[in-house]
Amino acid sequence: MYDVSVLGEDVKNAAQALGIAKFDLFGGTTNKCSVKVEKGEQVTAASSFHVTLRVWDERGNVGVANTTDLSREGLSVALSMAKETASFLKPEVLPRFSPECLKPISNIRNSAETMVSIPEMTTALLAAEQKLKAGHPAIQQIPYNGLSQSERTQFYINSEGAVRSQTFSSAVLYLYSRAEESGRKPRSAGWLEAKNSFRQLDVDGLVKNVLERTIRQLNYRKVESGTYPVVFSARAFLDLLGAFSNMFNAQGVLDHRSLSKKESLGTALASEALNLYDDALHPGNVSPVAFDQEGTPTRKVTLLNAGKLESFLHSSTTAERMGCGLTGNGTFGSKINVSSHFYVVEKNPAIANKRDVKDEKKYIFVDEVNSLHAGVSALQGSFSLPFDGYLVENGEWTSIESATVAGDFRELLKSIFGMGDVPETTPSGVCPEIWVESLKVTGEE
Amino acid sequence: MGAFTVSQSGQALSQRFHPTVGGFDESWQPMLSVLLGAGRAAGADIVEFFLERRNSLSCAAENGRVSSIEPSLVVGAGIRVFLGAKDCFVSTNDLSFLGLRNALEKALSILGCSFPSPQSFLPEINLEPLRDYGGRNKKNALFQECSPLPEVCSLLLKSNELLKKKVSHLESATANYSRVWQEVLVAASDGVFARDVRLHDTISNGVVCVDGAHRTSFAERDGGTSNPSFLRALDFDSMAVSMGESAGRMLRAEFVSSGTYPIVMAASFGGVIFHEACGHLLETTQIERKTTPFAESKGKMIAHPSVTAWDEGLSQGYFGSIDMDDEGMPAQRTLLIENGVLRNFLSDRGGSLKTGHPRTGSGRRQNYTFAAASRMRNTYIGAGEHTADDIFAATGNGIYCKRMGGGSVGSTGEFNFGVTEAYLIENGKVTKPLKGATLIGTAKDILQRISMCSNDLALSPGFCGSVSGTVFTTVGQPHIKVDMITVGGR
Repeated sequence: MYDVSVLGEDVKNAAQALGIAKFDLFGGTTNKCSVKVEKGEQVTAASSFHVTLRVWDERGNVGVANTTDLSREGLSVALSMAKETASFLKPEVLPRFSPECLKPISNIRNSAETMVSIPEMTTALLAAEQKLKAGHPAIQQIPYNGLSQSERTQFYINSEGAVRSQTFSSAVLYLYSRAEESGRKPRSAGWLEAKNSFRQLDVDGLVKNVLERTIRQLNYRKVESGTYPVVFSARAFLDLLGAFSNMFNAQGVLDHRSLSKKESLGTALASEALNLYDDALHPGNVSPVAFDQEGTPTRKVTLLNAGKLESFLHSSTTAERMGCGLTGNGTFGSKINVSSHFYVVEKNPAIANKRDVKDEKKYIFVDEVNSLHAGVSALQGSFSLPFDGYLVENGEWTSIESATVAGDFRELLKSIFGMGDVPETTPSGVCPEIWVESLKVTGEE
Repeated sequence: MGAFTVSQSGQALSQRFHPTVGGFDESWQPMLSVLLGAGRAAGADIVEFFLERRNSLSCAAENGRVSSIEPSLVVGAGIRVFLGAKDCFVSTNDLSFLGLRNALEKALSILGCSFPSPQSFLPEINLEPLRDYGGRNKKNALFQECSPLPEVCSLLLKSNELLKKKVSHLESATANYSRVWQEVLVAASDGVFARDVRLHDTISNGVVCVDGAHRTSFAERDGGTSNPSFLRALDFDSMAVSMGESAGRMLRAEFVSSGTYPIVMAASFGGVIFHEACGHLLETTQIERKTTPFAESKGKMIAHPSVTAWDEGLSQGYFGSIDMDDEGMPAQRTLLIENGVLRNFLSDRGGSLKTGHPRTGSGRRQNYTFAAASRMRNTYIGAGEHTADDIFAATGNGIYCKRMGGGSVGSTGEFNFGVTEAYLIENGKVTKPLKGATLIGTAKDILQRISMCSNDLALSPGFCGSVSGTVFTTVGQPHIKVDMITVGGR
């Protein structure tokens, strides 16, 4: 584990030598190793560290610099660069230390799990690959696969005495198969699992999951273009939510780069059946951070309560500008921004589903949306995305050959007519199935 | 030529090395030769060091204020070891002898090789005399000649101001500038010893326009390579005019009706279709994974006879141009498709070892934390004989895809990409604006449907993200006609 107090002293001494009285920094160290099994084996290992330094000059202007050189000389060069930039930067509001940077933080897991050896990882991945290939004759390759373990430390330090650090460990396994039957188009399916350690990964469970998904994909057909009721899986809905996260971003609102405005607070953005939280410390979050990049303690933030916008996500700057409480979502840099930690989508217990999706004669199940970077207009609210999914007709599921689903995310949120009973935990959040009245689906002709 | 001849591990590794601090030159040769020899003595087939120093600057101006300035200093090394069908890549921030030795030792141990004992003999690695593209191509002073910070800030503010003047219903104007200066040194046990200095500049201007319930957002990018005057020479005025015109038209655009259409794709960034739908499938990475339908198609017809396509790193000043790749191989011009026939794949060292296709100077990586992989450089469909007007006339009714967003291709060869500015074509004429279009299809099918290419080839800068990170690339094409494609919309 990296000794953060030594770094703090080194920065303090270097800053003093340069006449810098006020500074803070956010940084991290990572030890990671990963294995891929393709044609042969590929192993990657990395040890890295980085810090972002922020300094205030004698006129109160603020400047920033990043470095990977944590030697005293390296820190001194970076501090000088940060000081040099200070006179050119003109933020709307000069940032200050978070008023909560010295407040106690949640005492969550600080010691990392022990990593297993690379041969053990390779053996496990090769066994998973073989088992998946053996599961069905059409599965000939697992083109995307990987198993990684990492230990990551994040820290925040400032010249007023704040020193925070937290260490996480994680293990991630993913398998994406490619299956092809004679005279048919190739099909693909995959899944990813993230846990705190290798020992917690359910390798057999993941293989079974991917195998079932792949087999379901083999029986595919074209879907007729048209308007259908649509059910989003947890993973698909959370991906869409993430793509339109500017709706909850206070900095985006202040910059006019959000689908929401200040006045949106208290208004209905979604069906009253929907509750939405950002909860960094949720037990399902593999990397539950106790403090954000400004050193502010994290907490559970209610974003939508019965569909109404209750709060934005804030940095210390946006909270001050909008006269709101801190939420612990600040990022660190020349321009402080805002990001979510772990979304929790819940069914409002006071609202019953309007009807059961099982009663629909025909609907589309969207298992995974793809190419969000290309098919989302985040500032316009619209999306048109290819997806992996199924046509469900009279209860019978058939994989869809190739199609896109399109709509307006704000309209989608308001047209939710029900949700599944069982929330699913994914690496980016927790969510049940989301049932939407109608969206346009285009099949390849 | 490497003059270092000490042959026993203990003696060689206990020497004191004095490479130049703060730069890469011949003085790094003795240290790297010994480490490469140690790697070979441990049993590795090939060992490669990639050393990097990076000094980058990103700056943003928003609505008349400089809102972000972030300089970054990065040093690091990536060490790759090949042993039979296995390979291992280890990265570190520590460029000292001890740091590099530890990283090498880690890589070797992962592959089951023991670091040589003090009594072991080290094979002599005769590195070539430093092939220095920085000095040879007069690039050593590039960093010093770049626009200083006050000039960068002033130009970004000018860009904001021009957008304010030229774009109606403007809600927000941004200018994001990024400059990456990189010095790299590659040394490998097959004798490669090469240095390069790179400079990439890019600017992206963005607008959000709102008129009542109508919203549109737009961004336009430009970029250059090895041009320290890039920013000061940029025509901000034309960029603002072009964005103003497009945003004005798209603000009230109707959603495209989903269906199957003939389309005309504009020259320049329209080439992203070829990049995504075909270019990626011609990288040996895809052959290794068996995710390309073209693995056995070399010499066979895979596209319409009107299609000839290139990937090259030689066009001066273009975003994907490189003097050498990240494995020290000089750049090439690689003919991918000639009149519809597949001629070559793009290959890096690892890809060549695993697939047998010859290296093409295409081993690229974002930085020292990634192992190099076969990646595109400047990739484009060559010019045809028609005029753009011929193509619109031949299309009759369809969709004109003037400005493309990003796209991707999946492991089954299905691709998709968004169209940020589209128009209806009626009776050969471009008419009303359309929004919300996504093009979907499979490479194998679509390549057969590119039936016309015009004579106005143009290139455009872009970024490509893949296995070895995000690299600078160029996409390009003339106007092309695709006879039929599925368009996702409302």
